[in-house]
Amino acid sequence: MSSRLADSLERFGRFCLLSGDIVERGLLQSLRGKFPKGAEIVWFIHRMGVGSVPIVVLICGFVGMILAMQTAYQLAKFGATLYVASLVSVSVVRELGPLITAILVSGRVGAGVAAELGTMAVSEEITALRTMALNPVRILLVPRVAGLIIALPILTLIGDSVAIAGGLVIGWGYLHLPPELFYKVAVEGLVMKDFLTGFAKSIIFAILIGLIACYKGYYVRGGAVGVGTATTETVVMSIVAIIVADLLFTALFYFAI
Amino acid sequence: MKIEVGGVEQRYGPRCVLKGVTFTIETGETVVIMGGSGCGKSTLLRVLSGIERPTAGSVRYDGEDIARMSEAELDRLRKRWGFCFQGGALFGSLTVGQNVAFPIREHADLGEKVIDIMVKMKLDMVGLTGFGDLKPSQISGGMAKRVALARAMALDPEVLFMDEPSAGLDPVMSAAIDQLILDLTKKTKITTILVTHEMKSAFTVADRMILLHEGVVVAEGKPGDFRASRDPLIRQFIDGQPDGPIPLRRHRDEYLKSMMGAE
Repeated sequence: MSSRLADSLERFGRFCLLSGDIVERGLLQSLRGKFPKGAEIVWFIHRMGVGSVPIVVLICGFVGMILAMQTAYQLAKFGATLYVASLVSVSVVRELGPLITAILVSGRVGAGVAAELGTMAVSEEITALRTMALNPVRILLVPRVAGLIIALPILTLIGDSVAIAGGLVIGWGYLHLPPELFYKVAVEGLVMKDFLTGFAKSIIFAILIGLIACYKGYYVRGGAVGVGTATTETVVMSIVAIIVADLLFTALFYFAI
Repeated sequence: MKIEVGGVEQRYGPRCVLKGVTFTIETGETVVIMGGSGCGKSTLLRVLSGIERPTAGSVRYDGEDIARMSEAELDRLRKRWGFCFQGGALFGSLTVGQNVAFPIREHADLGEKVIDIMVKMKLDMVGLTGFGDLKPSQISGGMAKRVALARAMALDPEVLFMDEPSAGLDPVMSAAIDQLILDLTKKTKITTILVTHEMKSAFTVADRMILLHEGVVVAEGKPGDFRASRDPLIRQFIDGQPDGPIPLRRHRDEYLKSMMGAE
C-alpha cells in the first residue's frame, strides 16, 4: 500500500515538474524575449483546431437541438417556450459549450498528442533530440500546449454558436418561434460574465488536456502496449480533470464572484 | 577528444548493470565495445554520451567530468558529439533531408541555401544522393541507418557514438556500413565509440576493442590481440560458440531446481 502511494506521489511530482518546465520554457522564456517557434504553433493550431471543427460542429449542433427539445418540454407547461432561446444560449455559453468541446478535444487531440509523443519516446526520437543538445520540452511539448490553448477557445466559440443555431432550428421548426425572435431572446439572455466564464473555462481545459497528454506521452515506457495505455489514460484523466475543474470553477463563479 | 572512464557503476534499483568500468580512449581512435546481449554495452554507451548519469564513477572528456555537469554544460559538449541510434531514431514526420538539416537549423545560424548544400553533402557522403525528399517510412533499414549516420555527422562532430550500426542488416549492407564508418573515421579523424556484437564489423572498423561481460571489462586490446588470444571467454565470444564461460544454457539440475521453485 505504501509503495503504491509512493508511486502515485512520484508520478504526481514528475507531472508537476514537467508542467513547470513547460510553463518555464513556454511562458516565462517568452516574457524574457525567447519565443517558441511561431510557425510550429500555427501548424499545431491548424492540425488540432481546424481538424476538430467538423466533429465539434456536429456534436454541438445536436446538443443544442436536444437541449432545446428538453427545455421546451418543461417550459411548454407554463406557456413560456420563448425562453427556450435564452435557456439554450446561457447554458451553452456558460457550461455545455466549453465542456463538450473540451471532452471532444481530449478524445481527438489529447489522445493523438499522447500517442504521437509516446511513439517518439519508444523509437528514441526524444532521446535523439537530447543527444543533439536540444530540449524536447521546448521543441515538442511547448508548441503542442500553446497550440491547444489557442485552438480550444476558438473551437468553443464555434461550438457555442452552432449549439445555439441547433436550438434555433428546433425553436423554428418545432416550437414555431421566428428565427429573428429566437436570436434576439438568446442574445438578450447573455451577459458579458457568461462569455468570460466560458472563455476562462476553455483555457483551463486546454491547459489540463495539453499537460496531461504531454506528460502521458513523454513518459511512455514499454513499446506499443505503453503507447496504448498512455493514450487511454490521457483520455480518462483529461475527462476527469475537466469535470473536476469545471465543478471548482463553477462553484467559484457561483459563490465568490 | 580524449575520453577517460573511471570506475563507472550504473544501478537500476538493486540491479547493477555496470560494475566499475574503467578505460581510456585517445583522440581520433575508433573503439569497439563488444559483449553479449544484456552485458551492459548499450547502457555504457548511454552513460558515455550523457543520456544517463552514472550512479558512481567519472566520464571525462578532455578532463571535464560529464557525470557532475549541469544539463546546460552537458549541452555545450553534446554540440560537439554525434549519436547514431540502433533503430536510426529518425523523426518520422520529417523527410530524410529535413532530418539531416534538423541539428544544423537548430544550432547554426545559416541561410536555407547553405543548409541545403550541407544536407546534400552529408547525404552524398553516406551514398544517399537524391533521397532527401523521402520520408523515413519510405526507405529501407540500411538506408535509415545511413541517414542516421548523416544526421549524426551533420555538425561535423569530434566524437561519434554508434549503437549497433550493422545489426539486423543483410551481409552486403552490413559490409557497406562498415566500409562507410571506416572511410568516415579515417577521413575525419573523429573519436568513434561503437557498440556491436557483430564480430566481422568489429574487426573491420576497430583500432581497439573492449569486451564487456556482466558489466565488467574483461578484455581490452587491438583486434590482433583479440584474434591471437587463448582466453576461453574471448574465444567463445569471437568464435560464436554456445559452450564456454559465457553461460547461455543452464545446467539440467539447476533448471529442474528453478522449475520446482527452489532457486
